[in-house]
Amino acid sequence: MLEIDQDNMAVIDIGGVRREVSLDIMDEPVAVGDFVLCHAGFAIRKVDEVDAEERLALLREILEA
Amino acid sequence: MKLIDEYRDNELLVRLRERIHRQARGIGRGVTLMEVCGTHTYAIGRYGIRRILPENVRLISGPGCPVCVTSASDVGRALDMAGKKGVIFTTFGDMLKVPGPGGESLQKLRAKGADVRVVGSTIEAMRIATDNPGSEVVFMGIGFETTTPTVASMIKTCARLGVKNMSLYSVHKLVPPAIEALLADSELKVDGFLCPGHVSAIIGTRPYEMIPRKKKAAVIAGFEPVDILEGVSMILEQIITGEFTVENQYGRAVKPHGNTKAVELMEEVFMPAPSQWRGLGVIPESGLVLRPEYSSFDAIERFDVPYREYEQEEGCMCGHILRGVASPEECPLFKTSCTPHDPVGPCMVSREGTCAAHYRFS
Repeated sequence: MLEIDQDNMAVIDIGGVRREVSLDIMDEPVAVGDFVLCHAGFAIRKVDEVDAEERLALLREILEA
Repeated sequence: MKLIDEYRDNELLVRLRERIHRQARGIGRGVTLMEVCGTHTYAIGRYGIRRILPENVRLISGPGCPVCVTSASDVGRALDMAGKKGVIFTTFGDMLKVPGPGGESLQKLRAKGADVRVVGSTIEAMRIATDNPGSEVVFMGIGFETTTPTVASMIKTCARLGVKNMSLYSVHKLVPPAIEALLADSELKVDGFLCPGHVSAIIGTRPYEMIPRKKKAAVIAGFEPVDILEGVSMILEQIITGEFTVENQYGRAVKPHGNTKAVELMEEVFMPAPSQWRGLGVIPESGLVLRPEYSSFDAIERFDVPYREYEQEEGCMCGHILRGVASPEECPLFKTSCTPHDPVGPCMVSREGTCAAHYRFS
């Protein structure tokens, strides 16, 4: 997420493409720099980066066992 | 890209595949898994997941592509509205090619002069309404719990700002009642469900608890290859141990409670109603209509468009394919008279449709 304006709209970067999305249906605080999941012009959830990394680490462990 | 590349890691995929093959050998018998999400259908095709699964693990698609499950009668009603004078009819792109009664579609109607516009979001639809105060703007809302909150948000904004020339034709549907209907279908032999990631980002993990109660596996998964293979492996593990439960592979986007604000918005604006699904018939409480407080935005009331029964095209097996009891290759029209360029049935229209994915990737 690159910027957030007063109308609760945010500019996001998707692999180099800038898009405007609404934050109107988000139920958690978001900030510039966060990763968000977007659908049909709306951000719907913040991506949990800690979970994403832990999950992969756990998977690697399971597969190595 | 961060948070995506790691979930496409080749070494991990090779190891996951080995694990899945080991698990499948242990199970011995044939197992059938169903993905209930069009985005999964597309990703499974795109990454060639079916080809790397063991022979005794069959992956079939369910009723998870929004335009595919929209009934011919609902398309017919959309055509009736879009054909009215002074109406600007807006909807998401996939809907335009969906064949309705007599092979007519919104795209063909547009070619004849109707004002049909594709929008990428409800915000765009609302902008069209405020830019064209002399026209009636209808938004046809399709899709599941991921999309519906964005439409609820539009209705609330229209009410707040007094946008009076905007109305909604809702053919929105709910995923859990469709899974319930599938679970009650004796023709369908499914051992486990790959549950939708983005729908679950909104509704959370609890609505799937009826699946393990029926002694079937349920795993919510993401959309990258590692997500899907890990999801399949988790389903197989449940089958091996016989301990059925709702597991969440996609924790980075799905929390047990989902997105509570989005769910509240949806419940404030909409209420459940019976809905006609292509292939599955009428499922009670599986559709969403506007609550009485918001009925002034209901396009059906505003334009008084009656409901008419239409049958789907002869020979088209979309209905069977959506229920997971037939594969696209079994349909006589597949790749002959039905192609993505000139689709006969809706499963060939959207890139998330089972027939379109099979056409493109097999």
